[in-house]
Amino acid sequence: MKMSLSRDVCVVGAGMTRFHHKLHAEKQGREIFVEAALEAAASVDNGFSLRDAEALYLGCFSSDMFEKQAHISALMADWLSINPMPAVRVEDACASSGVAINLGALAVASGLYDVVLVGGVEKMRNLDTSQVTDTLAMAADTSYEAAMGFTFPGLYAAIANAHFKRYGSTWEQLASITVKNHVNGALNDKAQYQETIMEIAGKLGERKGLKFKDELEFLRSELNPMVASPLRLFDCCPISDGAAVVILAAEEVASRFTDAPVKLLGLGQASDSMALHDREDLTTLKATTLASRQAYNMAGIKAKDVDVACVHDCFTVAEMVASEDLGFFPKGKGGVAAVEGRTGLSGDKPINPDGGLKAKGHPVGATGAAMVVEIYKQIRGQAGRHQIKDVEVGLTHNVGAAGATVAVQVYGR
Amino acid sequence: MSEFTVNAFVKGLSEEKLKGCRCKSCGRLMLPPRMVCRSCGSTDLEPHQFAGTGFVKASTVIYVPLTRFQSMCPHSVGVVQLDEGEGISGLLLSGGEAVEPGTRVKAKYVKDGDRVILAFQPV
Repeated sequence: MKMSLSRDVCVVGAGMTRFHHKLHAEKQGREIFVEAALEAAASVDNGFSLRDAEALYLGCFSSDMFEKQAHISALMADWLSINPMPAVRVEDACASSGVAINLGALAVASGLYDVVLVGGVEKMRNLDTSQVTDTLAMAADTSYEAAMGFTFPGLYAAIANAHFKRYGSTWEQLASITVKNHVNGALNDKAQYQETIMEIAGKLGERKGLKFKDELEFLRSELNPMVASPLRLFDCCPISDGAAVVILAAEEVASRFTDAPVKLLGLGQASDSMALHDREDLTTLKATTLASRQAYNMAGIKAKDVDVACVHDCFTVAEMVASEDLGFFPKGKGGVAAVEGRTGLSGDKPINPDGGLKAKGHPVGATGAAMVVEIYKQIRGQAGRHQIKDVEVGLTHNVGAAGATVAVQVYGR
Repeated sequence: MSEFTVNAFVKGLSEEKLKGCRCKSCGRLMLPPRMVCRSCGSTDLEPHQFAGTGFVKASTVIYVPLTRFQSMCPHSVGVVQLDEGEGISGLLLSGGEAVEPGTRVKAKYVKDGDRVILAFQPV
């Protein structure tokens, strides 16, 4: 594979709705998506009309199940009033918009288009929790995993247990990731949960007449029920509605839109066996390793050069494993690094400064694009209360299901 | 038409058989059966029945189940490494208790309405 693009691609604008479980209850996916696209357009320094775009790449996992609406690429182009427009829906489970970013970038790099819109949307809260559990399990192998009783959290729970056994990692290490991501989410006005774990513990505890002396006591309590052992409710990202949109432009036209574009330095993508049981090593997502090495090679960097990363923490264990597979920490040491605070806002390898999927929320099809929104702001110094100091290089890592698809991008100036 | 289908595997479960296949070119065994060899890409395959014995590689106890498993909840499910070397997912018949990795298991076929679920019993 050639390790460079035919021409350079930049992000020149980015926007997202707040991710939330109630806020968008009265809206459809189309309205959420238009909100995100309008915010992205308004974010462009020198002004932007949505009609400046020449194509739309849209990540969405399952509007079909969640909203009984298919063909939503054309629907969104229509609702943005940008017809006629080549509009493409990408479905790669929770990696849908991360893959859409890659495809949009490749379309610009090819020279066919100068400017494209890339985004993602998911309106999940139309269904109740058990229906959402069934729908998400469709991202695993329906015939050979879900048919035997595996849920989506169940697959990551098996990964956690395999990692615990092999490396001696612990649930307490995972809990430190929960705590950290809620600290970060509390500083992000786009996050679903803008409360620390102690604030949540205080609120929930008051209703039950319970008091907790620290986060761990709360996270071990009955108020944090088991979902799939060892993963409890607060190890899992919530069910969310939301959308995110970024505007990609060829570097040679980017100056029309902004003096401070963010350059896509490298991208990568890989697949792995659909079923977890077909993998020899359950403690690693091989597709993460492969996709990230492609992106690092294209960018001409190493893992140590990444200043901030948005990694796919659909479950706490997923962040721990990703922090190892991306090369930030040695295999088996991701949990220890989290406990030591190395992945916090002031750590040497900040991960998910926006709260991650855990606190920011995870409208699955929108997540990959939302990561780019965050990294765009981090590199431009516009991330507000959760800004990391001196960001030169940022990474996004978007995973489909239990690692059968992974898309990675590296951004800089 | 290929005989190595999901339907053939599922029908095998109702006959209490684990129907996989073997690559005649490189000898790779596969369960469930596939149409193209995972190791060498050959399509020259023959049926192979698996013994159904192995050990638990990793597992979990599910407390928030799929709707079709609600009546069994909490239930254990896991990845089983079969003695032939292939991995497969299965319900673990442990009374909702956690199953230690390395535990030896044997295939069981659990009838649930009109379907048969592949399960494993600790031995």
